[in-house]
Amino acid sequence: MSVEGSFIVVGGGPAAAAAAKALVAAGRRVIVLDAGLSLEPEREAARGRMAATAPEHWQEADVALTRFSAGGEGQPGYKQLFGSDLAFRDDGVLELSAAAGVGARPSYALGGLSNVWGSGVMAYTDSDLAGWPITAAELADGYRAVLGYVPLAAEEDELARRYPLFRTPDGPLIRTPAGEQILARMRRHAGALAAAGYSFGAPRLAVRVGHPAPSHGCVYCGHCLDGCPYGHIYNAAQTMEEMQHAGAIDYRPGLHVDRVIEADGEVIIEATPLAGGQGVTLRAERAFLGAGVFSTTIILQRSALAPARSEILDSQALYVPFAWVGPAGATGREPGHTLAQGAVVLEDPAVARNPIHMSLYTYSEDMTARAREAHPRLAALAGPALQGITRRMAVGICFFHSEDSDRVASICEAGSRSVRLEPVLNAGRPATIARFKRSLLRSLGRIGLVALTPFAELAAAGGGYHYGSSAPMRERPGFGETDTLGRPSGTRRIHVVDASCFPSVPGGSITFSVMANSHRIATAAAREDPR
Amino acid sequence: MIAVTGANGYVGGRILARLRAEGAEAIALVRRPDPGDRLARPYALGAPLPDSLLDGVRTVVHAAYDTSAMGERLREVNVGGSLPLLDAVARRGGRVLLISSLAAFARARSDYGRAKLALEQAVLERGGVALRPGLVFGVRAEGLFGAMVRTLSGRRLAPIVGGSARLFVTHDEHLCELVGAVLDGGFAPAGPVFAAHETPTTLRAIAQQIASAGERRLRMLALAPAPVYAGLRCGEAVGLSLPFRSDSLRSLMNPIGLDEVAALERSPVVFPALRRDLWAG
Repeated sequence: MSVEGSFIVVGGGPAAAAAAKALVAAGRRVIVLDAGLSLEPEREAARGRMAATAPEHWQEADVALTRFSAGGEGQPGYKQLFGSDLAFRDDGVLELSAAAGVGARPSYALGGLSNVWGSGVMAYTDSDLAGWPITAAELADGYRAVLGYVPLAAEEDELARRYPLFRTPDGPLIRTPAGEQILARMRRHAGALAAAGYSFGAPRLAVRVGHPAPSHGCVYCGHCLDGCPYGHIYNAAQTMEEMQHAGAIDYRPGLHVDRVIEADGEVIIEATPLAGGQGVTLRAERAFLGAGVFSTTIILQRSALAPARSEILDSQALYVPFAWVGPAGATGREPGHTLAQGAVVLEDPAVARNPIHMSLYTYSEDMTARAREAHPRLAALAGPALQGITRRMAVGICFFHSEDSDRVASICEAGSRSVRLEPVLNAGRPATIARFKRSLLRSLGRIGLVALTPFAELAAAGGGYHYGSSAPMRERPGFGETDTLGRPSGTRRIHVVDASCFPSVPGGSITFSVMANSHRIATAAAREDPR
Repeated sequence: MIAVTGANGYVGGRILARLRAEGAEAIALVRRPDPGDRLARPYALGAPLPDSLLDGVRTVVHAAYDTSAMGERLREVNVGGSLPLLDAVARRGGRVLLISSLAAFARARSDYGRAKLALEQAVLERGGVALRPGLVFGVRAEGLFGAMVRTLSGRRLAPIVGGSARLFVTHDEHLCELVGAVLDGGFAPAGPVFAAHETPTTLRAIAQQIASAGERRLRMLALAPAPVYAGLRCGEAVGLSLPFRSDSLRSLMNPIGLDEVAALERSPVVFPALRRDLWAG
């Protein structure tokens, strides 16, 4: 099969969507090859029925079917979409085995990990990009372009002074009463917190807040963590589907890309149909690998463009429960959105060399429901007391810079179908986390936000799903590295566009920067070939 | 010609003044107009309408609201008492623009909120428009915000109740601007309109802001709402005249749900947050 003059994008997640979008904008013919797993028909039907009506008219059976059900992986960071393990389901082509201590799995779903992401869209700053061959200014156009089709619920608050918004927000996503309490507390003690290195504000979320709801924006039904039935939480699948319906791209699902080869000024792509049968070979002018870090790394390894043992850097996640003192108010009794309610950044060189980002989630009825399902006996015993306590609980999901985190080794020989993932421990990590916990106890404890550090849980390497760097961008790339346009050393027409090409993984939201960087690379690549 | 009810009140007064400043022909419908005032006509909620009350009037901005009654009686005075006016306007082919409130919503528990909601329905059924402001503030603010400015200046300690409840704020001049947009015909909403700043705040944050304008740090003594509510009810039962009504506290403690906020019509006027320059002059 030969497709002359086409640009081929591999993957269906945020990186691939941003590359395809940029290439289409540059007037290119784009083919997207994707495993493209989708939601089970009965769940999709239930979601559709829910989307067609207001939450008070939802049928109980539909809600039950599309809610999180225990029995999936019990580890923190594991999320379902409408009760489905879609985002983490295996496509069955590779023999993938993960050693104990590895929390990550590749996603083969259309939309990839954006099916279950926290939807944070905070950009990297120059200090985050230390050691990168590009600057924050070079990503700015990408951030702006991405916000052209990604919704932005945010506030022009204290955080905006340090972290630019890039465009006027569509509006605020209104916090839960508990979220409001916590933020008000922080505002009252802003001076002391600043002295301890903390900055904070409203989170920036890729959530639609238009009116009228529910057709044009969030209706505060509280279903967020299971997926938004109305599609108001951005999902890269939306961008892919829009481009496909507009005839702007040729989307080909059901393919697993095995190998890419650059020869005679074109790229040959070999793929295996998931349904079985003969392998497929395509030719393209350029290829953009945005399949997600694990899949892209494996493609590079199997194409002999990366070493058989490649290390993936992780921005490790620490889940810290908080309890706060004071009235619980109407907390939890009314529905509200269940995404992050606050964004906190700690910059204290005495704690860690790099900023630590925390997203604060407050109590929702959903949390009690999940706790009940996970520990039914305890819930039965604790009963009403549990309610009183959980209403005054919040969870901070803290992301450390990859320098302060464990890593994951991906081991795969060129041409092989078997892949092994192993954890690589970071000797300095335990001490950093201990210092961070002390800082939380001291600085947030003083304002009545008590970190229950003994109950903090560290995600296994890769388990926070913020990882990359297997083929880092360098000024002068060596084997297994890429140039500033994500091209593996020795290639001119193959571009890595997902986080695999990040030289490091700063704490904080990653998807927004993945999309901005993918846009940057695809836009520059399209300019290289005169039409 | 435009007629404004409740023109002796804060919001009605601001609207009337703004309309006149912009050159509109606007008359006040008030309980006791000055005998020599040709731009005022006598009107009271529940009272029979004088025959000539609406002569030459195309639109009525209905801002009158009687807070002296309680419970069922409150509804009777404000809803039942408004119907003759609403019907008379409708008969003449005119239109009513109701100044409602964000306290009015389907699950509202306060008498005030439920009465405003019933009034909204009556207005919308007759082809009118309902605007829902939050806590109204401005340089000449009266009502709760004005009372806060007066009592908090210079204070170091203040009792507060319901301080952490979610509260939307509305700048009075922007509300007048929105009234203007509706009267011009440029904005024709199909349902009640959200007329406040999109990001809510709390009474505690507002109090802190007012106090900090006087360059003081205010310490707040949070009172538990339940006993305060009970105290207010007792006081009202024995006929005390209290500065704060139990019904207002009930309204404050049971704010409109976010799902209902999200479903409201949006205004072309973008309402600002509570900024010092907007209320301190």
